[in-house]
Amino acid sequence: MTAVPPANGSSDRDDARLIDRAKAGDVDAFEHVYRREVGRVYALCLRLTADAVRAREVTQSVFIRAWDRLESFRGDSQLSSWLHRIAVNEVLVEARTDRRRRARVVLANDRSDEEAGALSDAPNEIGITLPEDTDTRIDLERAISALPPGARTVFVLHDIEGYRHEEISRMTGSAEGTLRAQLHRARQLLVEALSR
Amino acid sequence: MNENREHPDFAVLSDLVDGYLSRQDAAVISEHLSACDSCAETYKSIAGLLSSVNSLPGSVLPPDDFWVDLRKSLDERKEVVLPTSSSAASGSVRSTGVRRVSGRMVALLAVAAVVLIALSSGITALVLRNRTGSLLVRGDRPTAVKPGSVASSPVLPAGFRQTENELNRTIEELQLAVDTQRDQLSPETIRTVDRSLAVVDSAIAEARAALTADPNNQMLVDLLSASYQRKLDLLRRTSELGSRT
Repeated sequence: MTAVPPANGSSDRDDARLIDRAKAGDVDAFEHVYRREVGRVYALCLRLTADAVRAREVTQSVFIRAWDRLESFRGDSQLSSWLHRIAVNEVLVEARTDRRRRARVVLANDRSDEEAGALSDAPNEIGITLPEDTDTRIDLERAISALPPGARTVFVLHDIEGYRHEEISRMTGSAEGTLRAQLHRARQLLVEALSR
Repeated sequence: MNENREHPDFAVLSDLVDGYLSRQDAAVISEHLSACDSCAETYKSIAGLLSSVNSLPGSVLPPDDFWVDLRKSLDERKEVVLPTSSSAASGSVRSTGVRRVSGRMVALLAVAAVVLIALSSGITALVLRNRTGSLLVRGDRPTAVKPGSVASSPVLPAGFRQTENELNRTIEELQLAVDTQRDQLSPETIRTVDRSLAVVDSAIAEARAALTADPNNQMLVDLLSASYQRKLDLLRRTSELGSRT
C-alpha cells in the first residue's frame, strides 16, 4: 500500500457522465469512480478501524453499497462526499456489530474489562506506508490506531476529516457533549503518546 | 508564571484551540497562558498535534488486486439484477439488495437455495426439452437481465407481468426492512445470506429467461413464481432474524 496524493479534481459534468453510465450498469464507468475515490475511502476506513483487514472489507462494502445505491445519488452533493458518508456509516455499523459480538464473547468468557481488551487489541501497525517515512507521521498514525475506538472515531472524523460535532452526533447518535469529551481524551492521549 | 491562578484543564485548552470558547473566556485563558509556562506548553502541544494531522496523507491505496475482487462481486450482482416495478417504471437500475440471515437458519437457507437452483435448472431443462424435442444447451450462468427491461418485457406473459410487479414491490419492501437491520447481523451471516440470495436470484433469472423464450408454458410460470416465493421467504426470515437479534 502506498500513500497517494489526493484524488484529482473532476468536473461535475465528468461525475454526472460517469454516474449515468454506472447507473445503466456500466462497471467500467464505475471503475473510474472507484479508482478516483478509493484512496480517500480506504484511508478513512484504515484510520477508523485501525485494522488493515477490516479496512479492506469495509472499503469493499462501501463500493458495493455505492453501486447498489447509485440510483439514489442525485448529484446535489459531491460524489466524493457521498462516498465518504457511506464509508463513515459502514464503519460505524460494522463497529456496532463488532461491539455486540465482543460483548457476547466477553459475557461468555466472564471478562469484565472490555475497554482494556480493546486497548490491548489495538494494532501497532495499520498498514499505511508513507512515501516519506517521517518518524512523526508514522508515530502519529500508530498513536491514532492505538486510541480507544470511541475516541479514535471522533478524532478521525473531527480532526482529520473535518466534520463538525453536530454532524458527528447525527452520524453516531452520540450527544455532542460526549463527543467533545471523547475528542479531548483522544487529543490528550495522543499528546502524551507523542511526547514519550 | 503565576502559581496562584487556577490552571485550565486540558478540555478548556482544547476548546480554545478549536475556537469553541466565548470571547470573554478565551481572553481570560489567553491571559493565563501568557503567565503560565506549563499551560502554554500544553496549549502548544495541542496546536502542534493538529498541525501534524494536516501532514497525514488524505489518500492511501489498497492492495493492487482489490479492484479485481470488487469487480467480481459487482459482476455477480449485475448478473442477477431484477428491477422492481418502481425502478422499471423509472428506467433505473435496481440491485439485488440486502442479503443476510444467521445461524443454523443460514445454513438451511443456503442449502435450500442450492437445492432450488438445482431443481429449477433441471425442471427448466426438462420443460425446454419437452417443448423443443431436444435438450437446450444453456450457458453456465443465466443471461444478464437488462436493467429496466424486465417488467415491461414484451414477451413475458401479460398476466404474469402484473404478478411480477406485485412480487417485486413486496420484495423491495422486505429488502428495505432488512436493510435497516443490517447492523444486527454478523458479517459472516451477511455473506452467507448474500450467497443464498445470489443463488435464488440466479434461479429466478434462469426461469425467467426460459419463460421469456416460451411465454405460454404454465409450468415455467409456476417455476418462476416458486422461485420468487423462495426469495420472499428468505427475506422474511432474515428480517425476522434481524428483529430478534
